[in-house]
Amino acid sequence: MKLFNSNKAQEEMVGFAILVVVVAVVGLIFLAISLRSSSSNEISSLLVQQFSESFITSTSECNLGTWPSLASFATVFDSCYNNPSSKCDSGKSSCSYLNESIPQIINSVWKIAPESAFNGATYKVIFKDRVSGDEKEYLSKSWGNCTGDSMGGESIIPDSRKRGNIIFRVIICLNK
Amino acid sequence: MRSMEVKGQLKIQEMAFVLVAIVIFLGLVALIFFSIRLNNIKNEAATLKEEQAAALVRHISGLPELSWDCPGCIDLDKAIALKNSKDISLNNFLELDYLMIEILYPLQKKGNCVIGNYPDCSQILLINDTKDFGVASSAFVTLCRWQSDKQQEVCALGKVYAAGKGVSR
Repeated sequence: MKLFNSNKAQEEMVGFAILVVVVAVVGLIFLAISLRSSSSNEISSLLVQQFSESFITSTSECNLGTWPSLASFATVFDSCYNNPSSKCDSGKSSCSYLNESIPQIINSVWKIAPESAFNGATYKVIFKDRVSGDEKEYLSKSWGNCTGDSMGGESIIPDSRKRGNIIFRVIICLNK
Repeated sequence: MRSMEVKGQLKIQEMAFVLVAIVIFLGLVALIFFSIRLNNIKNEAATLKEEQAAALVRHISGLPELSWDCPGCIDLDKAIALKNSKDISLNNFLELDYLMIEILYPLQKKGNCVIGNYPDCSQILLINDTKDFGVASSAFVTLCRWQSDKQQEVCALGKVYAAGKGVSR
């Protein structure tokens, strides 16, 4: 009789353990779903897209020796890809001019700082081949702390050699 | 026999307690899940509203009174002329309480633009009908003008800020 009772108690313990495991699994699934939706993700933003579009049409401080004397950023992007040895009148190459000036402008416009609303940024300049669709990243930089959500946008510059398009992609990181 | 009945009742009670606990637990999990989802939806709605306002504000750059010959570009010379014009008022058809253009890059001397300090200034205030216009919506634009000493057009990165009926529609 005692052995019979002990067996029953063991069965109940096993049943309870299974129940706990099932409930824990269900809880974990819910938690995983909710965490996935709240984890860092990049949102396409009209504001960042407007920024990148306005950026490429604005005039740079780089004189490439062609008319007009001061080239637009779109022209400097194109020159950096198609003629990497091209130089601004300051003596810097067009690519290093871009690498220096883009973070400066993004920092100044978006006020990127550890305690501000935006605490990091990334930019990428990509050439996309019209025929093969292959993408080649030729300029990029990330800075600041980008662990939370971010918003991104891009603008397209037609390649002067008509082989494809140059894509200027900007990602701004939101402070949590 | 009586003892067996009591034991059975205890077991039923135990089972009922476990079921109630499971239901409460699942209810709590569902509550947390839906509150997170609702929060996300609210954030998305706010972003969409903000973007709609930004699109409307950028639309201002397409007005013939302000436009330059590229999309999203504003003619700064036209803007400063419009600021000083007594004959043309943007407010007649834009229904705005506030409209301001700001030059962001290259950095300019801080201050409102008037004929005397233009273009060494950073803001052109076109409409300011009320102090209580709330939060102005903004959009990035390109601000262009003819620079006679360089004999070329020069475009700066800027923002347009607007508030009023015309934006919150």
